[in-house]
Amino acid sequence: MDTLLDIKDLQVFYKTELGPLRAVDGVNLNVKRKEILGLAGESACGKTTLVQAVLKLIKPPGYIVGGEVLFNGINLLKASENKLRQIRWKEISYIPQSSMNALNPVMKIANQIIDVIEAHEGKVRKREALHYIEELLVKVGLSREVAKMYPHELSGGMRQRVVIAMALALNPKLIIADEPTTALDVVTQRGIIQMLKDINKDFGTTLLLVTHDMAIHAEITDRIAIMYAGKILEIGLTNKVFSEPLHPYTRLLISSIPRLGSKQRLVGISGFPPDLRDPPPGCRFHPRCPFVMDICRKIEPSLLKFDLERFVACHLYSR
Amino acid sequence: MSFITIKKLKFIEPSIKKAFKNRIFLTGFSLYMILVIACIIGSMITPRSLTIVGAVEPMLPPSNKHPLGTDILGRDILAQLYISTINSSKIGLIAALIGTFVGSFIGFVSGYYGKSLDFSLRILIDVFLSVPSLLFLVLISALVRVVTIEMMALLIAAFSWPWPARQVRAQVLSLKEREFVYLAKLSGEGGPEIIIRELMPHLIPWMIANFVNAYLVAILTEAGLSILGLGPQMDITLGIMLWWALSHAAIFRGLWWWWTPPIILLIYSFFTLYLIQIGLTEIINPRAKVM
Amino acid sequence: MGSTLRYIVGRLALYVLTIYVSATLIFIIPRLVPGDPLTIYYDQLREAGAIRGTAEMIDEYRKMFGLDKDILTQYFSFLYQLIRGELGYSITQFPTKVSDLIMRALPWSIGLLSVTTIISWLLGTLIGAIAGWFRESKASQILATSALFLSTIPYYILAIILIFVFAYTLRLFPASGGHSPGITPGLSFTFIQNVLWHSFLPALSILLSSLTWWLLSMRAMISTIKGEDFVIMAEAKGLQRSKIMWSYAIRNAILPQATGLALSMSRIFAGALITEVIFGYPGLGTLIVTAIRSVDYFLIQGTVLLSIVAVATANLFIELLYPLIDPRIRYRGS
Repeated sequence: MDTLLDIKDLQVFYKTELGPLRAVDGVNLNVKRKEILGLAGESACGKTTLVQAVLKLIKPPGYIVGGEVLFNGINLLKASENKLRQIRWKEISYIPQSSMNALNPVMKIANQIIDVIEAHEGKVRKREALHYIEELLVKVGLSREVAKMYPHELSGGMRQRVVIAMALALNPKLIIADEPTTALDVVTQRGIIQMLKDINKDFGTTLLLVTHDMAIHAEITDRIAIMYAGKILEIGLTNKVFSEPLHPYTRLLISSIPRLGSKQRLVGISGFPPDLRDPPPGCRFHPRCPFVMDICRKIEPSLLKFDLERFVACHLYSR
Repeated sequence: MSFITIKKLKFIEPSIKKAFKNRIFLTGFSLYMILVIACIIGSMITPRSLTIVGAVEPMLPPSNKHPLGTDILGRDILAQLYISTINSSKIGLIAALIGTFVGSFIGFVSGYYGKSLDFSLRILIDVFLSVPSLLFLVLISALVRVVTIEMMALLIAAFSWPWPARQVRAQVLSLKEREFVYLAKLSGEGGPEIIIRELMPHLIPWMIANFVNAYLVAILTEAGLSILGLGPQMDITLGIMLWWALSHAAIFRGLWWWWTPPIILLIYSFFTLYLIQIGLTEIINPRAKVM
Repeated sequence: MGSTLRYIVGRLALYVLTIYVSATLIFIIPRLVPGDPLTIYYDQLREAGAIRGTAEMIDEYRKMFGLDKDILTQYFSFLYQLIRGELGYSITQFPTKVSDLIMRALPWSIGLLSVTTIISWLLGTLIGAIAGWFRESKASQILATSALFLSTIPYYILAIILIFVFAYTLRLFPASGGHSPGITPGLSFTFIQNVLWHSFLPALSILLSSLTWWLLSMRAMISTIKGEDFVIMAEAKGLQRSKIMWSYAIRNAILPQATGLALSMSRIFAGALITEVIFGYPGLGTLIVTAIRSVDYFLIQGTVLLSIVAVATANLFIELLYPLIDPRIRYRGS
């Protein structure tokens, strides 16, 4: 099967004092084997919630309202505790946002990786495991000594790399990376992006890369999905989307990337993202859309196929 | 100056509203107030004469005439109870007020002015904190023979300042570095203005929490000292009532109505005060859910 | 390793300073009261008719403590005597030395306190951890509310209630003493059994109240840690629930729990002291109060100082264990 991960009609809300916040509201997305799929969008558009829902890591006040997440034919949302535990990390691993805090402060790095190995492969011999882990660390650009260290002895960038190494440990089929470079300096960013590219190329690991940084998407993703206010607005091959953006929002996103050498004024997008407790009727982007039509205010556009590899949710393109 | 006062008031009102919305705080506060008010009213309508030795027939179990009975020395217990509760609260109030104010002041000065002053004050605070204060209180009361409520309160206050000092100091230290203080300095605010307008609003919740804590600890300490026989002997407090009861083997003489009421009121007080504390913690630090 | 050393040295310095300041306060405070302590007792003893030996005793003291010399010399000889472990003679039980009386009472207090503290901390932490992990469950809520209620009751008040229930009403346990009067002390089985029987209620008073305290703090801690990023990460890694609870949550919560224990030492000791008195238990508590009642100045001084040293030492012991539990302190230092 070509599709590795199939997300259907996923809805995830948050309970608030003023009613449910519709963070992810009917998302349809699929991730193909061996590709790097980028998920782009402003902060608080629901990207992280979406990704956490895939791994069923949503905690109160968040709750999954409905939908399916099919991985190799298994619906992760309905799978048993045991099955889910087996799939986690071994098949799908996760590089969370702000990996600085993702490591256990009182355990040595090696032990944190050993425990995930043992959880899935059974008891291992410490020496062999240590050797494997050291190799892993070297692969992500860290020295062997890191294995014996504690998280607080490492810098933010180093910890990020540790989490990436950990994500690779069991050779998963899919790695979900949520803003893997946001808190890092540009040089480290470069290294990590390159590393992810290599992992995909050398091992055929599928990558779901979530970031608001369009430049990164331009650089390594094969396909890109644009998310806004809990909905997917456009999906397509990255170079096509960048050269011919269809959705007005996509157009504005791409034109907001500063380009070296050009003296163009930086264009932001006016207005603010909607309050997801009470989203606007019709198309969620219509209050900020420069091409808004009457129908946009009333009827919500569905994500429709535009082209072989292109989907867009906009009335400009529906017949 | 009036400008500063207005600003302070504006900040206090919504905080009070916020405080009373918290259910735990509300429960504790109202229950405790009911006790205090009931005792104040009770002490006003009950004649003092009932608490003098030999006033009534001794060792009587609860009856219509003496709702809580009488003790071995011929004193009405309910009458004693009203006054004891008020006295225990008085001690708590005085000790907590002095301790919190002095402690906050020291902690503030230490944190704000820093350098060598902070160094020496910090060591002083730490040492006082690691010393078991009850032992010193025992030592001092044994030698000085504390006689009145006010003396006891002052004595306890002498050991209740370190904790507020440490807390306020920690707060001031962390606040000093925050951007809004730099901003205030840049915009030309002077020393005292910064203290009152920028820092105080953050410190006041802590000071209130410290006050409640000091109050609770003071009542606890006084009860403990009094049970040992080191309390203010000229008056009665809940602890002293217990001391009288225990010294006359009330338990084994079956005079349960003598030692039960003080215990119940002490537990009631501690529990409601503790609820107030928990409520305050939840308000100050919304992320810390205690229950 | 340098930071650990700094941490240890810092802790030791505070320890020594605390004891020094306490000793100084113990020196100063009585001397603020008008009158020479010896003269007061000389008069008291004379009134009580215990004239024999008084003149010799005063001479002995004058020599040992240099009370005829100026205050500064007195202070230094006081400190000197202290370092040598010389605490003087008890006035009411002359010629027994203060240190002997303390040595007789100390094992009782240490036994009672250490057993109850360790059990209540371990049990409270364990139950609290599980209650914190399953925080939303009915059982956890009920447990927390009852624990909350119990934790506000001071040991000595609980003691009174327990005496009423178990000693007076049910006549199951003795209300006072460390052992029954007739039995000879020693390592015999009957003696130990007797001691345990007498220690049961005092221990229970302290244990019940302490346990709830540790339970509540651990429960709150675990509940908070459960929401931390690294715990969610552990879940994402597909680790077993029990592994996450132990190696991720509890391992991290133990340090603040231990800190809490160190900070509570004074409070626990104070409460235990009063509890001992209520039970007439032959430990330091009763010794201090007896000293107070008979105004045995040097006994008061010695016992108070020793109690302070005991608490500070227990505190230090726990603090020195931190680097073993928390790697962050090993490398960074406080």
